[in-house]
Amino acid sequence: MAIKHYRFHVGTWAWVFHRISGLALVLYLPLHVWVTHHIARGADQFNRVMEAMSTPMFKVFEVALLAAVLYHAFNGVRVILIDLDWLATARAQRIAFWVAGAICLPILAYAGYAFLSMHAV
Amino acid sequence: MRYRTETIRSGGALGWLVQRFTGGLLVVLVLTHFFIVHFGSGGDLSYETVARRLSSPLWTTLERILLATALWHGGYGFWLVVQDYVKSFSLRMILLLVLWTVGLGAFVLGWLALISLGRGQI
Repeated sequence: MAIKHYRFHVGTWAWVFHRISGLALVLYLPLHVWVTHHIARGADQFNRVMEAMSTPMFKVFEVALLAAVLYHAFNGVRVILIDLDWLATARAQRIAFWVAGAICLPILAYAGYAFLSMHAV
Repeated sequence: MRYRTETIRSGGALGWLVQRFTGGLLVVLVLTHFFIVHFGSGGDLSYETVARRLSSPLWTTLERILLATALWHGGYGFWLVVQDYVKSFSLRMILLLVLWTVGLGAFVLGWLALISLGRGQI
């Protein structure tokens, strides 16, 4: 295993989180299509789905989903910038990781607060 | 960079380039989708509001692009992960079959839902 010879730097963690969040999102995606396609089946089906999703467990799940989306998106931008050689030094790549995090956090805080305080539909 | 060596091993420069472009597009599309779905129309999540939004051509077009792009990006990403950890050829092929089945199934399901919503059949 590469891990034996590989010290865990910020970049490695960025990669690990990118992979974990990506896997979580790809497993969620077909589920999301399945659940949301019910809206095309009329008001009753829609309301049943929405009711099931207004439980506290789903709200927490939704915040976790947003966290995965935000991290994967903004670290993904960082990966693209690295590939374009716009972040040539290890230091720039490390700083970019924290910048990505700094962009995610306020968005997550705002939307997370809004979700958790939203009334059941 | 670890990313690069993974790339070359897992399916070529074109696949990776497509992954970059779809990824960049998804940053915009997914976040737009997420925030409009949850906070558009002042957080009104009633059936009427959501169905009305989903019957607008602009919105269904965006959703169609999102559906295709996200499934492709996710499917290719999953395939990269499979190639990294699954060494057995037959298991890889089984997973590839599952991937295409689930991916195409989700695509057709989502596409059909968007067609009936676009027609206003609600």
